[in-house]
Amino acid sequence: MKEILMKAIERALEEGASFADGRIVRRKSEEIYVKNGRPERIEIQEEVGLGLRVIWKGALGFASTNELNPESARETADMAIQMAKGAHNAGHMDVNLSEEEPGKGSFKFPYEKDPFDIPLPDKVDFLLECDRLMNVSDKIKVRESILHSLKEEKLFASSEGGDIEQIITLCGGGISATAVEGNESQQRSYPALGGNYAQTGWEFVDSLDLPANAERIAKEAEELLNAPPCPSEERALIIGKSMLGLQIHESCGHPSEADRVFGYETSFAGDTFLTRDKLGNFRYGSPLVNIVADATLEKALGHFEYDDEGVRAQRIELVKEGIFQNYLTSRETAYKLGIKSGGCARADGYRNLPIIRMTNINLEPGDFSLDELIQETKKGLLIEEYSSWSIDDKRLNFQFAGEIGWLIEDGEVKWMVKNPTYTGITPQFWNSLDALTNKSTLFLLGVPNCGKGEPMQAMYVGHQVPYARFQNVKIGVMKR
Amino acid sequence: MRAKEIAKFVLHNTKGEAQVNVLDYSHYLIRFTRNSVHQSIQERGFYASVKVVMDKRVGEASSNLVDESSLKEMIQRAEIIASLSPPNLEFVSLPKPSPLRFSSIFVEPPSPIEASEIVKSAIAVAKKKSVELSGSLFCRQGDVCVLNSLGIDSSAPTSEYAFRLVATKEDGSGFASIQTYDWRMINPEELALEAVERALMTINPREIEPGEYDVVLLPYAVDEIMSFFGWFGFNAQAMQEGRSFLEGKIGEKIFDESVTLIDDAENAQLPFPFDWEGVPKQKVVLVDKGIAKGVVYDSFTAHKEGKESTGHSMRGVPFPSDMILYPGDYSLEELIGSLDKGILVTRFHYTNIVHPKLLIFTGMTRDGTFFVEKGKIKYPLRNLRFTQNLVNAFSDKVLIGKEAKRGDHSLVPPIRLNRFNFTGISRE
Repeated sequence: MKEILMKAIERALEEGASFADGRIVRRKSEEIYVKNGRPERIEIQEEVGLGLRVIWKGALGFASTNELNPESARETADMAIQMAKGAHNAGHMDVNLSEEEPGKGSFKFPYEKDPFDIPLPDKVDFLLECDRLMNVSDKIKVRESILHSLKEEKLFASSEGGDIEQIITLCGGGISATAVEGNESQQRSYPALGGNYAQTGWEFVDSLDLPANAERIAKEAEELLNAPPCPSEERALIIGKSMLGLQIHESCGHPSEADRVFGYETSFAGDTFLTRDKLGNFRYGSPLVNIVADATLEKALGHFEYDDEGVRAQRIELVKEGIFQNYLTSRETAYKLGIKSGGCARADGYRNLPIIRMTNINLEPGDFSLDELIQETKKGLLIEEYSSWSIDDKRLNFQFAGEIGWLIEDGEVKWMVKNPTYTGITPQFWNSLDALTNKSTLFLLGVPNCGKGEPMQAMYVGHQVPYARFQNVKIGVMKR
Repeated sequence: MRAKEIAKFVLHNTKGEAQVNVLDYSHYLIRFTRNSVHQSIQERGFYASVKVVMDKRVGEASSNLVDESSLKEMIQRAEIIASLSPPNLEFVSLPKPSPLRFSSIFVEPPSPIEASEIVKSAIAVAKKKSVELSGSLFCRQGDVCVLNSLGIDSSAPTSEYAFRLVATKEDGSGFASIQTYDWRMINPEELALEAVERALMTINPREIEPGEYDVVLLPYAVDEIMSFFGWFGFNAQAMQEGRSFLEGKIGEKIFDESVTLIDDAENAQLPFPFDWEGVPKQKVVLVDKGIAKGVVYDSFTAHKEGKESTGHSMRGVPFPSDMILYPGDYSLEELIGSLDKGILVTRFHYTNIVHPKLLIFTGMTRDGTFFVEKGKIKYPLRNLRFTQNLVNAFSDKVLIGKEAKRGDHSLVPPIRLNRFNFTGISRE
C-alpha cells in the first residue's frame, strides 16, 4: 500500500507539484438496525481507496480513486494536477501551508473487546431484547435500536517525509421509542438521539446498559403525550448531557473553525461571527466559560495521534475565562493566521479532502453537584437530551429543542413538560452562564456524523460536558 | 456499461433471492470564495451492494472494490449475515419487474478546464460590480444498475450539474442557483447577476419586530418546504407508523384548493427512471386541488398494504424526490404586489423539524430577505428565524406563481403564504 501512495506522490511532483500528500484509507463498518421487532437492516460495508492532495503553481487540487495499483496511482496524481490547473485557470486562492515537523509513527488505539469479534446473532438478540422491553403500550408506534461499529486504517504520507499509520476503532448504539396519539407524537431516546459512540471497544456498548433504560424511555414517551407543554417565558435553563454537547457543537465548535473566517463555507454552511478582530479579546461568555478543543482525550471520538495533514493532536483553549482565544485550524488556515496548525484537518474516508473539523470540544466543569444546582434554582427548566437544532449562517441566532423537559420550581424538579424549546443569541447566551457542575457529572458525547463541506463529509467528533445553568433564557418558542 | 457487467456477475454468484446495486461514477467539484477558487476536487469511484434474502432472513453488504474476489467476498458477507439473522416476518418479496416508463437524460460532463471557465465567467460578473462571489460547481455523472433475482433489470446513465452562488458585499448577500442534467444550460453570467443584484439590494439591512407576516417565498425556499412534506408526510412509512400529518386524512381537504402536488420524475427536470430497488418511478398524485390523494411506496411498505411499489425507494425509506407543485397564474411581481405588509424570502438556512406530526419546522432566512409594503420592496431585512406549522400555512389561502425552478427535491414556483410566524432575529 505504501508503495502505491508514494507512487502517486512522486508522480505529482514529476508533473510539477510543489507539494503532495495523500492517504490510503481502509474502512469496515457494521450497522445493525432493529425496528418494531424486526431486523430492518443488517449491513457490513467495506471500502478502500486513495486520496491525493497537490499544490501546483499555488493552486490546490485533489483527486481520489477506489483502485489501488500503480497505474491508478499515476492517473490519480494526474487528475489532481488537472484539477489544480482548473483552479489556476479560474483564478485560485494561493495556498501555503504552515511549517510543521513531518509526523511519523504507527498507532493503534486500545480497546478491550473488538466490536467485530462479537457474534452477529448476539448483537441482533441484544437489540431485539431492547425492542421487546420498549413495547410497553399500543401507543408506542415506533421502536428503534441500533448498533454501529467502525474500524478505520489510515496510511498517510507526504512529499515532506510524513509517514503515519493509525488504526481507529469506534462503536456504540442507542434506543428510541416514539409514542403517537391523535395529532401528538413524542420521542424518547437513550443515551442520546441516534445513540452514543466512543473510540473504544465493545465494553462501551456494555457500559451503556441499553436494556435497563428501554422500558423507562418508552413509558416517558407515552407520558409525554399528555404532559403539559413547555411554558412560553423566560427562565433559568439547566442543560447537560447531549443537549449541552449539541449547544457547544453548534455555537462554539462550528464558529471556531478557521475556514469559516476565510469564507470557505460562505456559500454553503455559512461563516462565523468570530471574526479575526475578535481573537484574544472578545467576551464570548461569562468568566466561568472555559472551552477546549482536545484531540488528546482518549476514548472520545475526536481523539487521534495525527490529523489528516500529519499534524500532531493537540489540546487548544478556544475560550478561556469567557474570552475567545483560538480557532480550530489546518495548515492552510494556520499559515494565513501566522501560527502553527492546531491539527484539526480531518477527512471523511479516502475520497474527501481534509477540511477543518472539530476534535473534542469540551466545556470545563465547575464546583456544583447537580442537586445543588437544582436546589439553587428558583424557576428553571432542565433539559438533558436534544431533539431538534437550528442556527443561523453566522452561528448567532439558535433555536434548540429537547425530547423532554423538567420544570424546576423553588429548587425542586416538579413535573415534565413536552416540546421544550429554547432560543438565544450565542454570546448573550454564554454570557448568561452562572453555574457549572463538577467533574463527577461529566458526560462524554460521541457524535459520529457531524456534516460539513461540499461534498458533504460526515465526521466523528466528541464533546465532554458537565451541566450548565444559563439565566433569563427564552423558552417555549413553538406555537401549535 | 461496466456497471451492468459487474451487477450481472454479482447476481450470478448469489444464491436465492437477491438484489444488486452498482454505481460506477466520476464526480468533480470546484468551490470558490471571495472570487478565488479554494477547492478543486475529483472523485472516481465505484459502489456495489448486494441484498440477500433466505427464508425472510435478509443480509446486506457493500464494497467499493471492483475485482471478482472482492465482489465474491461481499456476497459471502451478505449471505453469512442473512444466515445468522432472525427472519423479518413482514418481508414479502423483492419487487417484480415491469417496464421502465421513460429514460434518463445523460450529458457528458465538461472537462475540468471547461468547468473552470464557467466559474471564471461568473466571478468576472461579480468583479465588475465590485462584489465578492462564493459558490460551487458540482458535476456528477455515472452509470447506475439494479438487478434482482426476480427479473428486475434496470440500468441508466445519469448526469447532474449544480451551480450555487452567494454574492456578498459589506453586510449584504444574495443567492442564486441552478440544478440541471445538462451543464450547457448553465448561464454563469445570468446566474451571477441574479446573486450580485440581490446582494447589492441587501446592504444595510434593517431590523423588524418578529411576529406574523404574509410572505412571498422564492422557489429556493419552497423547495426546502417540499422536503419536509416528503419526509414527514407523503411517504407510506410515515403513514404506516402513524407519524405522518396525513394519517387518516387521505381524501380530505388538507391544503388550499390552489395546491396540487404530484411526484413525477419524468417531468421534474432531472429525469431518472427507476428507484433504489430498480422499480420504475410512477407518477403519484399527492394533493389534488387541496385534497390529500396519496403517498409514495417502496416494495416493503406497498406489500404491507397489498399494493405495488410506486418506485420511490430511497434505500429503505419511500420518499418523493421529484415533487412538482403545479404552477399558478401569478408572476413574481404580482405575488409581491399582493403583499400589503409582508416579507419576501429568497432562501432558508438550517431548517429542522420541531414537531413532526404537526409539521412544525424552524429555520432562518438567508441571502435576500426584504420588507414589502403596499406591493413594493421597501428595504432589506436582517435574517429572521421562523417557527411555523406548515399544514396551517398551506391550508390558508396560497397564491402560486407561474415560473417553476428545479431545486434539490422538487420543481416549484414562488408562492405567497399568509401569516408566517417569525420568532426571532439574527443579531450580535
